Amino acid sequence: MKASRAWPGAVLIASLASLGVLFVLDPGKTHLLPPCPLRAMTGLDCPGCGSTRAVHAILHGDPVAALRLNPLLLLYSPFVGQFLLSAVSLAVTGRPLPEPHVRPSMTWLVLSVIVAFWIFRNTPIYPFGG
Amino acid sequence: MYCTNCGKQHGDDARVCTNCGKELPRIIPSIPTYLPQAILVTLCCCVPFGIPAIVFAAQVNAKLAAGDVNGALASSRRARIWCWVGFGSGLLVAILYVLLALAGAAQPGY
Repeated sequence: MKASRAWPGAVLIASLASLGVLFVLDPGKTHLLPPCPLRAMTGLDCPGCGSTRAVHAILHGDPVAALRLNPLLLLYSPFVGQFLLSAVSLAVTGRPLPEPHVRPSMTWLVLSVIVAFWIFRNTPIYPFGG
Repeated sequence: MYCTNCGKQHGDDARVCTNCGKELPRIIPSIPTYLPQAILVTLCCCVPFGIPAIVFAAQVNAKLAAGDVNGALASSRRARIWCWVGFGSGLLVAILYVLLALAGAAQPGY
């Protein structure tokens, strides 16, 4: 199957640009980057809240702070890495990387962890509140 | 597709060799699950659209394992659609916010 090289190139450029912005700006301190819409409206943290601050922390060499801000980002970094490497492969060679076979039970586990974390982080016993 | 036993040629949907009776290897096509994209959308863009994307991603391999290739293709398409919807809405919110922030920054005291 022949795939277009335009969109993976766009994905790569957008990803690099986003990383550049997140290196320069700390989403926790600037007003130029959007907050999570769910949190802005309801005050509840979503499973992705803190992920852009976590990227900022990783880019500044602080994985511990990244784990505190959003542990899922590091936990699921193999998936994120696979996506980015596949985009590189598509842009350079015109073929995606072969997708590793993920068993359905694994995918359900991934989803359950996200939902469980979502609930857990909105309870008072979550260790890194706020 | 050729029979691995006697070499007779068959269509792609044949299950058993009509010449020697041996069961033919099933061709399992590689169908993208969009799981990495679905996780990215959930964590970085938009939870309400990311979660259905993960559910459909799970269905792709579940249906494939059950031999339901058409169902897996349909789930794969749905997973892709939810990923794009989530990505698009996240991008839209971000662009609107940045525009508003810039407009607000340009008006002192607002």
